[in-house]
Amino acid sequence: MKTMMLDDLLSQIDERKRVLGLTDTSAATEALRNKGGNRTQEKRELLRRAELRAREAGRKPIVSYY
Amino acid sequence: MIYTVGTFLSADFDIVASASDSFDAALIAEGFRREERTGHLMVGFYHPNHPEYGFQQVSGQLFDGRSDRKRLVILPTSGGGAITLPSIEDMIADRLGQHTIASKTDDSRLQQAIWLFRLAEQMDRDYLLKRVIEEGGDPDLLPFGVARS
Repeated sequence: MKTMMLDDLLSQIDERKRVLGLTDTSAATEALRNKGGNRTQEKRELLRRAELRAREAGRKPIVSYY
Repeated sequence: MIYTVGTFLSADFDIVASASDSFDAALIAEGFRREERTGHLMVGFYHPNHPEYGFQQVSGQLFDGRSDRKRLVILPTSGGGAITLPSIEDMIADRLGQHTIASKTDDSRLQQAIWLFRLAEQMDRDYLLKRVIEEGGDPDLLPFGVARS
């Protein structure tokens, strides 16, 4: 198994994003988001409840399609 | 989420654990709570400090036992714990395999695979090719002609 500090991995990937010119735009994020067509019933329920809890807590939900 | 440093943020965490009872007890001990679900649906967990996320143990072995456990990545955290992730090759293969069975109008899993591929600092391309094929994916969809060359 390979062991490395979490912060080191994140820094490494951040640098790679910078070198490649990859930016975190909303369009890029949306392109990566599962549109939900093949989700199991369990997963749909998990995501639905997570969204509900976030709203009840006054948090911004993570966008999910379910 | 970690392999893209937040470019792709998901509300759900799938966790592989060999012993369900121990897994449940460990989460509860750390302050997680069980979701209450009706009917036959598997129960997930959430943490009250992070209500926007859901956590679920997935059944079976990691990638149905096809991944090489020696390639797992262990990430010690400053809090004294550790996160164990599948290798980047396994993640890419899993995404491509899922793309194969996804709706033709949803190429998100392919885009995830391409992002992971581009962001990976190092990878074992022979292992990646093997795993992509095992997962039923098409390695030719990856950029730079990674496979079959």
